[in-house]
Amino acid sequence: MRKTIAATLSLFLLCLLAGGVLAQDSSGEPEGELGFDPFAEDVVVDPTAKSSSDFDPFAEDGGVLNIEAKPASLSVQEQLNILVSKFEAGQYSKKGADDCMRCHKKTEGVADIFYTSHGRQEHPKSPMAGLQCEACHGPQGKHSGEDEPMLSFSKHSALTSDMKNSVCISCHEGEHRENWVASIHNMEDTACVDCHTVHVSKDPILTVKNQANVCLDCHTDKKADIHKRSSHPIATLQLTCTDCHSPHGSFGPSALKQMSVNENCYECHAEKRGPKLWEHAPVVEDCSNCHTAHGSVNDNLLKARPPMLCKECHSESGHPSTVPGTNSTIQFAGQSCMNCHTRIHGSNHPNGKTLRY
Amino acid sequence: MKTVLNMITVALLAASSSAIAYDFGVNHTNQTSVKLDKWKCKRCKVEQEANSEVKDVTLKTGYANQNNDHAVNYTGLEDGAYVVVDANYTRKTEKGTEHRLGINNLGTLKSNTELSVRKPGWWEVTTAYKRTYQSDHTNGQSLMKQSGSSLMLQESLSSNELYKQREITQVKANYKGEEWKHYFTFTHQKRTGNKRSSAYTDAYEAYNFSAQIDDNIYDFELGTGKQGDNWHISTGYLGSWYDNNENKLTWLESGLEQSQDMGNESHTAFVSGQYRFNNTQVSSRLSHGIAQQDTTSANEWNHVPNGVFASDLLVYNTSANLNLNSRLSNKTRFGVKASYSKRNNESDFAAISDPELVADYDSLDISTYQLAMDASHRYSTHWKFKGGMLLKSVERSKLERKRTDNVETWFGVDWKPDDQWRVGAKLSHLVRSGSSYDEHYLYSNNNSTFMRKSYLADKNRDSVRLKLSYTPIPELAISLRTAFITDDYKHSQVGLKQVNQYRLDGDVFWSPIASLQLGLFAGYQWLDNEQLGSDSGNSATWRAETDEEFGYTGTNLTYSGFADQGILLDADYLLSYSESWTRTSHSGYLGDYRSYAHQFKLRGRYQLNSQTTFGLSYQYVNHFDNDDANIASDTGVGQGVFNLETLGEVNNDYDAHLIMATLNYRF
Repeated sequence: MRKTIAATLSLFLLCLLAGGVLAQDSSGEPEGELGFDPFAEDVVVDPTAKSSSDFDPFAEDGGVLNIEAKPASLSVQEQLNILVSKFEAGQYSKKGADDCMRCHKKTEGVADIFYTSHGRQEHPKSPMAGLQCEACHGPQGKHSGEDEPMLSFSKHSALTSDMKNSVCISCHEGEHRENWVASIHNMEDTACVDCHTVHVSKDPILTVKNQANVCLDCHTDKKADIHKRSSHPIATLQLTCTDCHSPHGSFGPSALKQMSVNENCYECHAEKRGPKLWEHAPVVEDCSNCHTAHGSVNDNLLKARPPMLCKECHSESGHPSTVPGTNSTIQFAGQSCMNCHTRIHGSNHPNGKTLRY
Repeated sequence: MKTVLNMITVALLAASSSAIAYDFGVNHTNQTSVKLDKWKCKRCKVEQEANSEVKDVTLKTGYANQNNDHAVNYTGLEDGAYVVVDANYTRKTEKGTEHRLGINNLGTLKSNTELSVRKPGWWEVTTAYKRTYQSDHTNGQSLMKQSGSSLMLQESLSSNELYKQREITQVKANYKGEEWKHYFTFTHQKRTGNKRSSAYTDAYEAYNFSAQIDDNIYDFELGTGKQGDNWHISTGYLGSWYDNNENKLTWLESGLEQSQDMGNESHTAFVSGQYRFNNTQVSSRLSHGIAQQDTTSANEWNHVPNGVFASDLLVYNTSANLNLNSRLSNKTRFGVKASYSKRNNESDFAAISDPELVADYDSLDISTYQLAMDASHRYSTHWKFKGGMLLKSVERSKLERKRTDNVETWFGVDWKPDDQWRVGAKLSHLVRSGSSYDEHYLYSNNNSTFMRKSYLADKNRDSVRLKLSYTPIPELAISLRTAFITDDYKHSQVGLKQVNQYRLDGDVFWSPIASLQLGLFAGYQWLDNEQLGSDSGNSATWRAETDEEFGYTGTNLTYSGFADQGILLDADYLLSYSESWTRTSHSGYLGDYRSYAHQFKLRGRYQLNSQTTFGLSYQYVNHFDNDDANIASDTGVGQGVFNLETLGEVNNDYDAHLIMATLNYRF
């Protein structure tokens, strides 16, 4: 079994070497690649720029964005100049979405916007009740006829993640996104559209069935964890990432919804909250002293196998200090230390100091 | 002083610099020439007719052939034939109100249903029901049997399925006006099932048994907030109640009692807010609450020494958080997060009159202070640098170490030499120290003056993480990731000494032809630790090494070559493997502890017409888990392991096959 896994890993290395031979002149990325892009550029646009010649987002180092330009005849820099220029001039279309749909009605996915909140005219806060398609994609300008670029949210877009996000955040700001700017996702240049899909009737990340797949595309270590011997039931869709985490940032650690690890755990495991009469200090301080959140090769998500886990802290005289035996001893067989210390998370028995009753 | 003020001014100017990434937000648009009254969106109305309905139903039927219903964890179904229903219904009224009903996997042990009425962007009322189920083992055997609040010893083994079921009912509503927002959520979780437990007797005997789960959790959240152009403030209340039907179990033969989880509750009030000025954003939250438990009085318990009285328990929790994040320039970001939390145990223990025990009951207060700073700087289009520091101090009112200090520094770099290669690296270094370690702590009864508890001990942690991706052609993408983390408990002479973790994983995406997409992934992890023990009270007298391993590999394949005929095919395979073993210097090997699972799925879908889709799928699972600690239960007390009765060999080893036919109809 280990050989199978090792052989597969070796295959990746071979692919890596062989891949270099396949094509040298190709560029671009496959559709299946992860949306999360740590290399997105922090481009700054000078709104006073009127032509491509006097606009350079990297004037200091003379750098030029190395992203595939659409259309190919325009550089990213030139596209940004046009986008800014017509955004500031407010060169909107004459008929709004009707103008757009004249050409794009049959473009795959475009009309699906009308099955979403973004496509609801009767909803006053919806983009379709205001600037319609151009609320998000910017003024039409000379897009129709002269093929001027529009604000695009694809991975080939000239926009940086910050620029893309500025469109979304202008409406979706406030309470539940108050920590977005301070969040690790923002720090890592994650765009809203890296996780969210707008032109579909149901955004996959907002469904129980698909949410974990979207998150685990990037969080591959957690993808491994959920298949370990014991894990929270994320793989079987009984738990979703947002049951515990706030992906738009939070005040808590690791983007947890609550202020501490323990408070987060108590949401589903309220019996551990107590306060108990006899407390087990590491339990009170932090559940993660003994447990791993996503998965473990040990039962009950424990960080180590009892009794070895217990002996990391306990060497009191008598059995805690002795070397553990085989499964012919009460220290190890059955439920190990918990054979006797049954109330390991704290006891409410007046005589429960040693967590046995 | 002038110089200092000037520096502050410069810093503030930098923080509020106008050199920002361009904002394409709708709030910054120039609408002077727009004539919205002429924007009719006639082409949109086809899809959004008033009183329109969208309905679809999926029927799933077939047969689950599984010789162990532990397979429920994978299939959600018990052995035998089944019928499962999925359904979705959406109706939009003329006034824009939307009614939605969603049903998923009705007929399985893992289902959910949601019903909502909403006016998008304004208000929404939702009710939801969710059922989860997790099987541990279908045949836990014990001589000890629980009946209500009583424990009884039986002459023969009784069998129980070990499982946990959770039924969650939720009602939530929210309203969002131009400035104000109000919301509430009520959640009830009902938990039932049987879990592994054990009863200890004063005769130094332990009986593992199947303990009944029958408890409830009620959560209530209520909040309101107001929003301005560049600020918002909100306040709210969080309440939680835990209710258990059994506060204690009584062993009828001996009168011995075991406490259970008693009812408890917590109440928290909070206020939070955010303010943005130019490129800087500040957000903050303050909260204060209590957690309490009404403990039964000592005279309700048997076998309690004189002078011991239980008491009602009360803890105050306070927390304060402040986040500040700023874009210092067009290439540089800076962030600070500060937090403080205090757990203040105010339980009244004055009723405990036994002088030896009063000290033990000394309550535990914990205060945590944390300051994190991070910054990122893009040097060029190819290079980006990130770094940060975390300072964390935990103070405790008792225990062997009253204060621990963590200082962590980290540095990361992203390198993108061209469109094909991407490389990322992150290094971190953590040092934990603190106040002097009191090995003679009054309450520890620690036999060894050299023991250092792993969560309090001095340690150094170093980690290296690397990731690499290569996309030579659009049809091929390869990525590899690796990490090495080491924890060195250098000052511990007894206890945990060293933990090393290594990880390697990768995946390949390949589309050799347009209609075929192939994914391949694999990874392996090693975790090795070393610990020392002492039964002499002095230097270490024994040593143990634990090696844990986890590996996984799999593939997924999608073929759409027959899409023109309405046929889509896909297949998935996953192998996961967990193992742990411990060697000790004295008695050797702790025994086998492994699990693995092969999972294979094959699916085909055929679109009969624009409304009907037919599907066939086959799922296979081969699951194995064992634990050398799971010994047979057919040895009574005094046999096998001295004074221990286990739940038996609660290992699993089975195959499961699931055949499913699906019919989806869109009305």
